[in-house]
Amino acid sequence: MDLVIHEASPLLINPAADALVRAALGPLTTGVSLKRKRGQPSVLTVHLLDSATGQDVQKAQTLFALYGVMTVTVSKAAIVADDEDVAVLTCNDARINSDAKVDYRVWTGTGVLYASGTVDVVAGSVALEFGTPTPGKYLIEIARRKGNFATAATVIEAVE
Amino acid sequence: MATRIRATTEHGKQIEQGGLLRAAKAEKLLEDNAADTALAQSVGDATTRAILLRVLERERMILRRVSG
Repeated sequence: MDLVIHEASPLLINPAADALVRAALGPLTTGVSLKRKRGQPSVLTVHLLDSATGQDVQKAQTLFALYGVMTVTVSKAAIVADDEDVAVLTCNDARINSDAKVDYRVWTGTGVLYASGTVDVVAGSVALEFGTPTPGKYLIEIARRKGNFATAATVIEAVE
Repeated sequence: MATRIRATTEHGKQIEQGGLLRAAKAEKLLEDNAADTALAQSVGDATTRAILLRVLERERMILRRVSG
């Protein structure tokens, strides 16, 4: 099945997408792959096990049919890599209005999981601060923990 | 109040630690640079003094960037 996913950074999205798909589909999935075509949205393909039943496929398709990309705003796209300068990410998408918590994950530009955790949704909004002493690009992703599958992502660059 | 993200994975902590160490080394080098600059200012020959001070100034610019 194909799914158009965040365009923030196709180079960074594979491991993040893999993690979120595994979280949603568990052992049914063997992973994801990303197809890029110049000038077109990247297309993420979810690979299911051969042993997946029709019901499993239906489950996956239902999940992705309801998939939503949430909006996230960021105070700045570039920060100084000094552990003091921070970018503030805010997600107040209507989809999380009644959620108590959401998950977040941070990936480095080389696809290494840098941080993950859970954060409270306060009055339908989530605010995260990101700073680091190490230069590089970081993909920050926010994902719903319940209800219809929805994620938000943005890239922050830490510069010297 | 925003929640501050910190590195939580082993790899993430290593990356963060690497950045902090790098900044600490740069801080130490900046201290050395300050001492060298004081010495360079006492060099008698004007041309040599000017060259030394210019090189040290360039080094400070790089180190300030690394140390934040």
